[in-house]
Amino acid sequence: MDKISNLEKQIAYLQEVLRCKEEELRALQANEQHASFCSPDKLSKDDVERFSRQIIIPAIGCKGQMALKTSSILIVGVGGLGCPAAQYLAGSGVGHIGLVDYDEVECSNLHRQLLHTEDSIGVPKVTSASIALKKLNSSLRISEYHTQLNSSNALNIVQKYDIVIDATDNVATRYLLNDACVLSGKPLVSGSALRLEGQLTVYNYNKGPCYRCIFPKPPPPETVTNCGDGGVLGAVPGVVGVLEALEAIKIVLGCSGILSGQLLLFSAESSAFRNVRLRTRNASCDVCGENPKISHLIDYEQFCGAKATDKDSSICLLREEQRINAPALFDSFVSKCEGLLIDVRSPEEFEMCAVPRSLNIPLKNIDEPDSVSQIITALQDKQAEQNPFPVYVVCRRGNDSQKAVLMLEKVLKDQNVAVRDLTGGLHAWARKVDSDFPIY
Amino acid sequence: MAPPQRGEVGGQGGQDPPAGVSVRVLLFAGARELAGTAEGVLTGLPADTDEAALLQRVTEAFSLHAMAGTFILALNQDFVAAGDALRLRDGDEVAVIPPLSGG
Repeated sequence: MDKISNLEKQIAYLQEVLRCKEEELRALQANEQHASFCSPDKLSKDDVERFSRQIIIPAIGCKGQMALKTSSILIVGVGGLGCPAAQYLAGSGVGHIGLVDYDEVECSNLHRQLLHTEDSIGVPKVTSASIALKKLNSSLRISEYHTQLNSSNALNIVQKYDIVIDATDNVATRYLLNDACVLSGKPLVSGSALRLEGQLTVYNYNKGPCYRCIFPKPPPPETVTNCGDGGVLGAVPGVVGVLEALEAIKIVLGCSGILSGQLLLFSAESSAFRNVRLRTRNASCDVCGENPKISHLIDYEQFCGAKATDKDSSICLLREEQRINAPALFDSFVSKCEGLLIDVRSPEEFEMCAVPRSLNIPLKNIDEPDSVSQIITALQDKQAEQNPFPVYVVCRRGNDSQKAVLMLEKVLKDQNVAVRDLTGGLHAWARKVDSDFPIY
Repeated sequence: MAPPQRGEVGGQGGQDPPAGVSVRVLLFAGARELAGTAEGVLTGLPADTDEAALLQRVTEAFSLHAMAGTFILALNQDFVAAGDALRLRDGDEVAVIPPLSGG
C-alpha cells in the first residue's frame, strides 16, 4: 500500500511539473507568434493554416474567422453539455471562452464529460477543461470561474461576454441565467439532456422569446429528474453540446436560421429531430415583457423550490425509531439472518449491485397489489421467528427508502412488522460496512 | 425498447365508428415518466375546440396533473398558446413538452 501511495504522489508531482512546463512553453510560443505577425484586424499565418477548411466556406470567409477570433462566449456548466460545446468553440477559433463551474471532476462524469480524464478526478472542472482546451488551441484566452453562479455574481460575469451558453444541470440556474441574459441583453443558447433525449433552443435573440416566455412557471421539483437519478447516455449531451456550439458560432457569424422561437427536440431512441415552433416574445413576460416585474436578479432556489445543483439533498420523513444505521443493519440482516430486506431502487440499479438476499421492489410499484402479496409471501416464510418481524428498506441515498417505509406501514398494517429504512442508503452501507460495494 | 403505447377511448360509449377526431399524442421528458408511456391516442375529440379543452383532455388521459401549467402543447409542431382556437383533423400530432433541465 505504501508503495502504491508513494508512486501516486510521485506521479501527481511529475504531472504538476509537466503542466507548468507546458504552460510556460505555450506562453512563450504565443508571445513569439504575437511578435512576428500580430495584427488585431488581420488573420495570422497560423490562423490561415489552421482554419482554412472553414474559412473557404463562403458563409464564413476571412470576415467570419475574424469575427470568431474577436468573439467571447461564456459557457455555464463544464459537464456533459459544456465539454463538447467548449471543445468545438475552441477548435473553431473563438478568441475568448469563459468557463463557470463550482464542481470538481468525479469518476462518474468521465463517460460523457470528455475534456476531463482519469488524472483530473478531484480537480476543479474549469481547471481540467482549461488544460485540455489549451492543448487544443494555445492561442485561446480562457477565463476560469470556479464558483457557483448566483444572483450576486451572475450579471458581472455575463456582461463580459457576447453570447452565453446554458450547459447547466438544474432548473434554478436556468431561470437565473435567463434573467441575467435578458437584463444584460445577451443571447442565451440553451441545451439540456437526460437519458436518451435532448432539447435545444436560443433565447433572448433578436426580439425572440426568453425562457420565461415559454415556461413562466417552474416545474414542481418532484417532476424533475437529474442525470444522477435518471441516467444519461454520454453521446446524447454530446450531440446537444455540439449543437449549442454551432448555434453560438452562427450567432457570431451573423447567420440567418438561428434556432430562436423554435425548440429542437432530439430523440436518440428514434434517431429523430423534431423542430417545434414556439411562441413569439410574450408581452406580459415577467422579465422581458412590456411591464417587467423582475428588474434585478431574485432568489432562484426559492422561486423553483429546488437547489441550484443536480445533487440530491437529504429529506427527513421518519422518526429515529423508524430508521437503522448501516452497522446495525449488517449485524441483524447479515450476521444474524434476521428480517426481510427490500431494495426500492430501479431494476437496472438493483442489477448493477445489491445486498445479497435482498428483494427488489421499485418504489413506484411498492403499494401495488402484486408487490404487497410478494412481500406478504416472503414474510409468511419467516414471520414466526420474531415478533414484530423486522422489515428493512434500502435505496441509493436514503431518501426513497423513507417514502417506502411510510407506504409499507400502510399496506402492511395488518402484519405484525416493524418497518425501518437504512439511514444514508447504500452509500452509507458502502462507506461503513462493505467497502467493496460500489458508490454510484 | 420503445415504451408501450397507451390508447384512450374518448367517452363515446362504444359507438361505432366513434364520432369526432382522433389524434396522436407524443409525450416528452418528464411527461413520458409521469404518463408511463411515450405515445398514445386520443379519440372522440371535437374537430372545433380550443387550447383549454385540449389541455384538459391530455392532462386527464395521461395523468399529467402533477405538472399542470408547466409544459407546452404543440399541435403539428406548432406552439399552442393559451386561449387559441383549434381545428383538429384525424391523425394530427399533439406533443406534450415539459422543459428538460439535465445536462
